[in-house]
Parts: sequence; structure tokens; C-alpha cells
Amino acid sequence: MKKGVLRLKAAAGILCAAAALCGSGCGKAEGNSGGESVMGRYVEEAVSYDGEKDTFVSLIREEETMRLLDLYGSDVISRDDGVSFEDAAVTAAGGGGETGRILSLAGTAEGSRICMEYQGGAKTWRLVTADGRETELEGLGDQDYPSFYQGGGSFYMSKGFEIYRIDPESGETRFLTESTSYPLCLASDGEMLYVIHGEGVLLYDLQENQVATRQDEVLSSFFSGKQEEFLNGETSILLYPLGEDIYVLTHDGIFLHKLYGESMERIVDGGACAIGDIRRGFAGMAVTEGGKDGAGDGIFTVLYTDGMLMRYVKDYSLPAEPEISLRVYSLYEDGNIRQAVSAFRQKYPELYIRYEVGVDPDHGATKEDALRNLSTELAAGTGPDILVVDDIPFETYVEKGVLAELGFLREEMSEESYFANVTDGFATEQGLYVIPLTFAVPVLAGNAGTLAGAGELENLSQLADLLERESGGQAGTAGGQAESVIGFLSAEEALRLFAQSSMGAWRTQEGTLDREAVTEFLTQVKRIYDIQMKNLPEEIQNMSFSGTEWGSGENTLARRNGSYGLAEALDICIMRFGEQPFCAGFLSSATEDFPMTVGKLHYMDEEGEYVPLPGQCFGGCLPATLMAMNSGTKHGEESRLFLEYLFSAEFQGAVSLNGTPVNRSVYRQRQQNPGEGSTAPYATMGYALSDGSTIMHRVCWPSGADFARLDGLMESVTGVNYCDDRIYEAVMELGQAALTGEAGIEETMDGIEKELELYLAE
Amino acid sequence: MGLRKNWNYTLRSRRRLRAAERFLFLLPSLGGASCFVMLPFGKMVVSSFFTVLTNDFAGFRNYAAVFRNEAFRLAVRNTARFIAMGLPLLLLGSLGLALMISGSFRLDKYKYMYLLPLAVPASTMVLVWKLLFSGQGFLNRLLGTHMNFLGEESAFYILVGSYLWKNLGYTMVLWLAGLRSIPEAILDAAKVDGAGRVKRFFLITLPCLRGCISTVLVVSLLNFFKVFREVYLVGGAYPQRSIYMLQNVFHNWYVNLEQDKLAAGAVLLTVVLGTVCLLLQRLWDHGEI
Repeated sequence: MKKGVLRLKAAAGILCAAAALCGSGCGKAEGNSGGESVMGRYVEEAVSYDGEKDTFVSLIREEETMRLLDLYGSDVISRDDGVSFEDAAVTAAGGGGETGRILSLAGTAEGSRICMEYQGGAKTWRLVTADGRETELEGLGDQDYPSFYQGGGSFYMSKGFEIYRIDPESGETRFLTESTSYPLCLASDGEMLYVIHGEGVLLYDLQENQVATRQDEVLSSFFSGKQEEFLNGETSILLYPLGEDIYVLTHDGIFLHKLYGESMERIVDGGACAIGDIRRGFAGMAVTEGGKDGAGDGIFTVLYTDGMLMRYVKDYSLPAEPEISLRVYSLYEDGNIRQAVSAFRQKYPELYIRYEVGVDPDHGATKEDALRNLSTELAAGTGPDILVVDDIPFETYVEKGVLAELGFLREEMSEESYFANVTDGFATEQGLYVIPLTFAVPVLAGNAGTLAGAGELENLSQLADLLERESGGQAGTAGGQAESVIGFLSAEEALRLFAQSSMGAWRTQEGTLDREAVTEFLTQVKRIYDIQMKNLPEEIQNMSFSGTEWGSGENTLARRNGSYGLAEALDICIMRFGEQPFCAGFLSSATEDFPMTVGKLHYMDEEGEYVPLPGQCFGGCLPATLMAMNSGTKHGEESRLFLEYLFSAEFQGAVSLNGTPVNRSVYRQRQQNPGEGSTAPYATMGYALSDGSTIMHRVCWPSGADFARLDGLMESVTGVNYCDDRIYEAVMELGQAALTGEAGIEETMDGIEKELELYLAE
Repeated sequence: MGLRKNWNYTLRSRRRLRAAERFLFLLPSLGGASCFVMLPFGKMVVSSFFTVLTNDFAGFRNYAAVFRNEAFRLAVRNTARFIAMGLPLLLLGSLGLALMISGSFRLDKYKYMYLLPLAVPASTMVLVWKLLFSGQGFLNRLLGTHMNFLGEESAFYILVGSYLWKNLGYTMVLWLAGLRSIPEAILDAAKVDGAGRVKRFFLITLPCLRGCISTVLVVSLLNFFKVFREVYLVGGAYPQRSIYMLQNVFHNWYVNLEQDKLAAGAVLLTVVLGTVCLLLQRLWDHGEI
């Protein structure tokens, strides 16, 4: 009996221990006692200052002064931690740039500066002290392009892999060390020099005049592998050492790291402010320790490469986690949305808005992973408020009731103010759930007479007939044959080009693959492919002049369709095929790129004209940045406010969007010549040809007739030409074999059907 | 009489104590299983009768949609085929290996080597498959062909082969545990009586393994339903038709927000698996296996 009771006690003991363990792990985490929220959050404040914004190249802070360094010497300084700026006396001797072009510049808060100037084919290196003494530096080599940096009262220079220190008074240059990889950025607090390079960070001890015996592994691993992104302009990095504290600025935010410490603590979230905007690089950062009253967190002042100056101050009256946090989500980076979020944040600073991108190659997140995560969030009711549904299977989302009906938005869009055929492009009997922000129209360009004489030109068969006729005898070309008839160089390019005007026809109303339509598409594109390839020199077949990778980049139109904008197609035509009779591609950013596109077209042929690209969805446009709203959003009012702002003339008119804005009033407004009254040409275009010669051509602002033709094209849009991503990619991938002759059309179609069978069956 | 009554009382209270003790020991795992398995499963059963995201009652519509779904039917066929081919091979192969090892002192030393494939990550295994069976793989070089074996019907046999390679060792260890529990004395007595190897196997070893067979069978069967990673790494969300398994269709439904169908499909799968397990248990109880 006693033994039994003992065992029972043991069991009860184990049970209690298990319950205690479970309780400790599974209980709801309470951030603080008493349910009070933690206060204090960094807020962004725009700082205004006078001067040409884009000529300020650096921000320097030393002791009590903060200086914005102007390329041409018109610096401004602040003595109140960056709250206000006043003109600094123009630095003696200007600091360079009076006669030549400044290639690299650095300065100190006191006003001395060092620069490299390029003039008449020669480079000069100059040091100008604050009191105006000018020293020409010699022996720095003529072949290299160095970068200058400032920190701790000295100048530093990276030249190739070599690192130098330059005395700010005498200009004496001393070699310090050599980096193992290309230096991306140098920073110093006078005691330690930090060399950020592609493989990490090199610490150079300035007191000991040698590479530091102990390197910072955590800091180094934070930067390792950034070289390619940095050189491609995809990321921007700054480092600001302040004693033991090291502040790091990247597009992910501002991080604090203690020298030789174990962590990188993010103190400002880049995704919630302008720091996250990858289109803006960082020109300089200053840190004011201790905050406003010398107690609390630091104040950060960031100068962006476009001259925008922002302060980040911790506001203790705000909760650390905002009550309303609007989330905008897209699968891939979208430049239009990045601009919208940035502009919205500035217009409504009281609303906290985050832009999240699902596919993150840096962290190995694929499209599949991103969609899975999104599904989990949506099913759990914690999904983003606003969805950008390009590349997302939004039809299922509509079917499942995930997306909100956007009738409220459409009601405010009058037909006079918006391109209704585009905004209503995704309307169904159930309602309107998706509205494109911008669009582009696929066009065929050529001689006006030839196009007019071609008769009806609406489908690919008629286009193939025309190309067949025209490819027969081109005057002025070798052998009477044009090398290139319409521009593309490979089967994939051909498919992607003509899909622009056809892909919307590849799916039946039941959602299955329209075999007949895809067969017809492949048959006609093969005819065109054969015509194009007939005279194309073998050495350039299957090459790509555009260099743009499909599936990447922040421009949705280019990411989906490749570099097949008409402007790019014309560039290739001018540079490689002087006598090419036709050109095709989508006409995007119509009111901005349009003057250049027209200029190129008229350079090719004074009677150059364009018509909608023939295809199976003739008259359809390519929609981009497809906006939708989560029906389960907890911030309906704020989400609606964001969408209304997105489609407003105020936003669309203030930024440069990828694609033609759907707001018609903005489209019209952009037809105003910015240089009205001036006789100067709008722009000059220049090409360096492969034979060494160059072409320079002055581009004038388009005439009224040019704009009338463009209006006609825009008004002729009958709807959207859009295709499910998986079907589109299957046709693009497998269709190539049909074009090159490796497989018959029917065989290819069997392959496409087989590839899509499971997807469509699900 | 009084003593007898007292004795009965003591016996009853001891039994009650024992029952309470068992219950208390079981309670943590029972609680965990209820919280993390039974309750979510119950929620899923309920969800299968609703449109998940909008919460509209759907009745049996989700089940009907699942039955009508061609992809689901194909996945069921493929999974059934995979089990029908793989399970007997796995059970017989691993049993054969276990018998070989248990009978040889020299081989017994290396028995844990057979568990090594379990430690190989799926991604590494898939990389090896690709090196061997892709269009430019070693096998094609050997045969002088340019066939993508992973994109054809042959992908199914590659999957079966690699599954067997990976799981043979584990199943063999389960069999070995069963074989070790057979008393040596019985086998020795049979040997002395002149029973040969085959006779000893069918008349002594196999009947003694009865307890082990049902465990190995159920564990292996359940594992067969879980094959996914290898298939996903080879063919992504939509692999070659012959290796499109139930886990693929469930994964894709999840990604495409078809969670009502997913719930109905999962309930159906649980019912089928539960029925099979109960059937096996019944056969086992009746001594038919």
C-alpha cells in the first residue's frame, strides 16, 4: 500500500513538473507588467535646406558642426544638430569644379576639402584647406579613380585595393594597407579605420599604425558578400564609428554594434521609413549621441544621394509598436510601390506604413516560399492590408474572398480622369478586385507608308505576311537583304515579344489551356522567327543585346516582358541594324520616355510611325503594379486612404512611375513641354557603335501631331492583356523548341499541356 | 469472513490506486496529444465543412470537390502505386537483411552502417540523383543517350529505389529488435530436431515476429505517405506526373489558399489510414497475421 502511494506521489510530482514546464514555455509572453505599452519609437523628419539638392555629396559631423558638402563649394552648415541649416561661406577656391568635372570629393567640418578633378582629359588632385590654401597633390597615379573619405580629422583614400591616409593640412599621402577585396566604404573616428570591402570589414589601428591585431568577426560577417550588390547599385552602406559604438546604415535600417561585440542591434527599421528605399543611395550620416537633451537614444541625420535630408529622432510620446501599422506587400520589389509608400509616409506621417517584399534572394526565399508564407498569414487573418498581385494567383484569392471589392475606389474614378479600359480591365461579374496602377501598350513601329500600305494588321498571321514581303528586298543593305527585320535575336526573345499582344488569349473561360490559341501563336511566331533568322549573322544569333534578365528588377513591365520597351528595341536597332524596317516593343512611361522614343524613331526614319502590335489580344495593354486590398484588413479606412492616394493626380503627378499612369489628367499634364519657350533641344542622344564611331542626335520635344498619335494609341486600348504566370512561363520555356525546329508544334503543345496538366487540374 | 472482506477491500483500493497511477502517468502525453493533435484535427474536421476563409457553411461540397479533383485522384493513384510497390520490397528486403545480419557475427558489427542513409540530407540525395539521372548525367554518358530520367516515367522507379535505400536500414533495425527477442533455446531445439533453415524461419521465427510485424508494417505504411521532400526538390510544386504524390497536392492546395479542399482531403486521408490500421489490428487480434 505504502509503495503504491509512493508511486502515486511520484506520478503526481512528474505531472506537476511537466505542467510547470509547459506553463513556462507556452504562456502568452507579456512584454511588460500591468499591460502598459513600451513607449518610444524613431520617427522620420524631413529637413529643408537651400541649394541645388543633387549637388550635395556628403554629410560631415565634427564636434558641434554638421556640414553638407556641396560639389561646387556652396556648403550649408548646421549648429543645432541638423534641425536647421544656413549657408556656409563659400569655401575658398570653390573646392574645385569651376572648370572641370569633380570625380571624387571629401571634406571636413571646418571646411577643408580634397577632390579629384577631370579636365581636358587630365586628372588633377587638389587639397584646399579651410583658410583657402590650395595644394596640388602629385604622384597619385593617372590611371586610377580613387575615392576620398573623411573621418577623425583626416582624409582617407582608397585606390584600387590600396588604402591611404592624407594629411588635411599638408596633403602628405601615406600608404596604410591593402584590402583583400575591393573597398566599398571607409570610415574612421581617428583611432580606428574601418575598411568595408566585399568580404567583410578590415580594422586598421591608427594609433599603432598597423592592421588591428584583433578583427571584429561579427561586423565583418554582417558585410561579407555585399560587394556585388554595392557595385550594381542595389545597396548602399555607411558606417559611423563613435568610440566603442559603431552605427551601420543599410537599406535594412540603422544598426548599432559595439566594437568586438556579439550582435548587430537594429534600432531604426528601414522598411518603415525612407531608409528602405533602394532607389536612393546614402551620401552621408551623422549621429548625435544622447538624443535631444543628452539623455536617451541618439539622433541620426541621413543625407540621401538625391539630396533628401532626413532626421531620425526617438519620440517617447509614441508607443514602440504603432497602434496602426499598414502593411503593403508585393512578391517582388516594385519601384512604383516603393515610391508610393515613401510619398504616403511623408503625406501622412501619423500613419505607420511598411512595405514588404516576399521574394528575398539574399535569404534564399523563393517565390514558392513567399506564396506559402503569404497563404499562412492570410489564412490566419494576419495578412498584409494592401496586396500588389502581379505574379500572385489573384483569381484564387478573389474566389476565396481574400480580396476586397474595389467599387469604392472605382466610383471616384471618372471616365474623363482615368483610362477606364485599363482600370476596369480586371472587372468580372462579381465585381472589381484588382486595378492596375500603370500600363504599357505593345506597338509595332516602322515607316508610315509601309504600315499604311500593309492593309489590315491585327493578327500575327498578317504581321508575318507583312514581314515576309518586306524582308525580300531591302535597299541599301548587303545583298539587298536586311540583316534584321524586326529586331529579336533568339527564340525566347521572339516569344516574349509577341506574347505582349497575345498572352491574354491562352486560357479558356473555364480556366483551361486554350490549345488552339497557343498552337496558332506558336505557328505564327515560328513564321516570324524564320523570317528574322534567315539573314541574321550566325555570330549574333541567340545573343541578347538588351542584357536585362527576365524575372528581375523593380520595373514590373521589364521584369515580366524583358527589355522589350520600344525605346530599348530602337536603341538596339540603331546601334546594330541601321536598316531594320520594323521595330516592336511596349511603349511605357509614355509621357516621359515618349520624347526620347519619338526622337529615336524619327532618327531612324523621318516618317516613322507606330501602330498597336498585331496579336491574339489586339488592342490590349500590359497592366503593371496590380493593386488589391485584403478583405480581412483591420485597417480598412487607412487602406482605402492609401489606395485613393495611390491613384490620385497628386501622387501620380509627383513621381516618375514605371509605365503610363492610369490617371488620365496626369498623362495630359505630362505633355507640357518643360522647356516651353526655349529653343534648346529637349535632349541629346548618343551612341557608341561597335566600329568605334559615334552617333549624336538632338531630340526635340514631340510635336502636337506626335502627341495626337499617342493619344489615339492610348484611347484605342480595349482591355488588359494578362496571362497566368505559370501558363506564360510554360509557353515561353517549351515554345522555344518549336521555333528552333527541335520539336514540332504539336509535339511542343503536348509538352506544354503535360507541363500544365497538374497545375490546371488542381 | 471479516478477514476476507478486508482483503477484498484492500485489493479493490490497490486496483483503484493502480488505475489512478496509470492515468496520471498517461496524463502529460494525453494532454499533449489532445492539445496538439486531437483538437487541431477536430478543428480541421469542422473546417472541412466550411469555406475556410469566408467561414460559409459548405456541407459536403469540399469533399465532392476533392473527389472530383483530377489532381487529387492522380495523387491517390500514385501514392497507392508507390506503397504497393515499395512497401513489400521494403519489408521483405529489410527482413532479409536483418536475418543475414543476425546470423552473422561479422555482419552484425556493421549493422548501424545501414542507418547512414538516414543521415543524408534530402537535398544531397537529390543532387546525387540529378548527377546520375539528368539529361547530362552519368547514366546518360554511360548509355550514350540524352534522356532526362527524372522527367520521365522512370522518375517513379528512381523514387522507389531511393526511398528503399534510405529506409531499409531503419526498418532492418526494427526487425533486428524483433529477431533478438526470439529465445535462442527454441531455435536450438528445432535445430537439434533436424529442422532446416527454411522450416525454422516459417515455423519459429515468423510466428515469433508476429508482434513486430504489425508495428513495422504500420510505421512503414505511415512513412510512405510522408514522402515529399525528395519529390519537391526534384520537380518543384509540379513534378513529373508519376511522382506527383498526395503530399504534393496538399502542399499546392495550401500555397494556393485551397484550404477547404485541403481540410477535406486530410480528413479523408486520416479516415483511410485509420481504417487500414484498425483493419490490421483486427487481423492481428484474430491471429490472421
